[in-house]
Amino acid sequence: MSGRSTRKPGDLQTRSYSADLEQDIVRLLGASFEGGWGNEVFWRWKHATRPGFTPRDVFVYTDAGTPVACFHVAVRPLHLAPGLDLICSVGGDLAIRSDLRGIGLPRSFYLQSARHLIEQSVVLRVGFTDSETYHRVYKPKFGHRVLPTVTAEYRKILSGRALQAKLQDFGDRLRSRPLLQRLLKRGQMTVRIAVCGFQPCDLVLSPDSTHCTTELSRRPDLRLRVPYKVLASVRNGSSAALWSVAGGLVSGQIRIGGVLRIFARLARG
Amino acid sequence: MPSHCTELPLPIRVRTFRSADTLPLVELANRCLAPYAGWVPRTAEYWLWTTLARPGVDAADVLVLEDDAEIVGYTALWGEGRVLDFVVDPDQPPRKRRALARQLIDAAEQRAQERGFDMLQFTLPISDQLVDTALRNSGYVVKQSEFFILGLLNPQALLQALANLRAARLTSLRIRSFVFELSPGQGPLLLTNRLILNLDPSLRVEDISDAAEYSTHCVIRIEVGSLAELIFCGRSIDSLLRQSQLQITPAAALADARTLLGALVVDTPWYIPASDRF
Repeated sequence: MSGRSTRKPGDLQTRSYSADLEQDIVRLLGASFEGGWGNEVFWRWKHATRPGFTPRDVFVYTDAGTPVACFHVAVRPLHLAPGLDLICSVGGDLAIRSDLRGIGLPRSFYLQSARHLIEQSVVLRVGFTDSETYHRVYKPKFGHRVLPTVTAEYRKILSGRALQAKLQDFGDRLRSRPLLQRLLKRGQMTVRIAVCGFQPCDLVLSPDSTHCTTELSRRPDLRLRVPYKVLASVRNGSSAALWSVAGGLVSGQIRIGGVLRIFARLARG
Repeated sequence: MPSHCTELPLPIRVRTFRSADTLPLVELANRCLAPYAGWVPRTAEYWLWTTLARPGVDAADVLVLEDDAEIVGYTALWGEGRVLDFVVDPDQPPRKRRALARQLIDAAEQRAQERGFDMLQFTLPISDQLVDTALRNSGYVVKQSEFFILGLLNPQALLQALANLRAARLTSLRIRSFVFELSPGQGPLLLTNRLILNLDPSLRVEDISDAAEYSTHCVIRIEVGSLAELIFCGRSIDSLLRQSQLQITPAAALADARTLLGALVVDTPWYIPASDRF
């Protein structure tokens, strides 16, 4: 038996924003976004206090008076080229109660909002998505196209806590490698990692778990000292990373101790 | 408001935001973003809303780089270490700009650590090589992942705006009227399926979807999604012609149609600042 609802968008009532809906809208968004969406203060800032906001920028479907789906647009000029600014709408914050998914509400919202946007002289509709949603929804159902942007995200870890979490992830991935599994058969292995600017920590690998701790053991199996910049260049995956590692080894910024002990352990295994 | 200052090699210093900075920051941001497409032109009202009024942003999270009383850069931090804006005066000489970028990155990291953020995350154009190098040299990991998508809602207004902008490139065309026959493709909505672009007596794009008869010397048939690819996504005319996603009739009009379509292309690189995210 299919769990899909037999209801249609026409069975629901449409409404635009009024302040009494805020709590329900935020609840809907919170239930739809993995990892949460935000609170009412954030919603009010993002939508109701936005320069140019009109209540018709918020589209709500209700069922017996209770909001069950919402969609938001923001109409704003976008700069496209020297001398060319066009009125565009950015769409998003789409949330649908789980039992009403798959009945065509996104398409309904799309068509319903189009009338409002045309009245506001909107020329282009834009939005943010991920590769999977683009290929599953936006391209085949709305005819949207992905723009080749030069936008990039640059990230750097600042706290020891976040670095340890990353090292633990790395340790988990490492543990699945056959060579390491062979090594770990003879017992757990402790790698002392000292990243310049952070507190040294021990990555403790055992056949079925990894943990990273700042409570240092007296005799780690392997010691590694590495500048954060080199770690980051490795994650950037460029050819520059090779040079960075080679340079670090030659200059002594990267130091590894205990390699012979590991080889001996491998030979014994 | 008391202002916290970090003394750096004089006369450049990093200080926190003061209300009198709003207009200079807006002007600087607009100048820095000018080479890109996809950002919202800043006004004082918009900047204050998207930055200072944002829940979780404090005036002390906006760091201003000042060179002898002139503002040459600024950055604004938000919750969990997201950097909303990072702007360094594009008109500074490259060597100085690089040094300014480094100073501002260091100041942002210091502020992020004061706030207890685990991570700092900048959203910037990778094509700004100077800032890109400064960030990589400071140990930043680079990722390009998010998709920015676009759909044409009003092709008539778009063609009119583009034709107006590029009018000078159309003066030499022998053919003076072009008809665009648009099909919706996968889109659920097409406002108009036939537009005429007349170069004379004045440049005008009109909706002739309902016209029983019309006179033209060139018909351009294209799906609205393919038109978006041609204008905004770098898709070439040849590739569309080869794959029959674009038809131009009669064949004798091909050269002029190519000139027209080429003039409509927006090839500005797209960059969407974090402060403009929806």
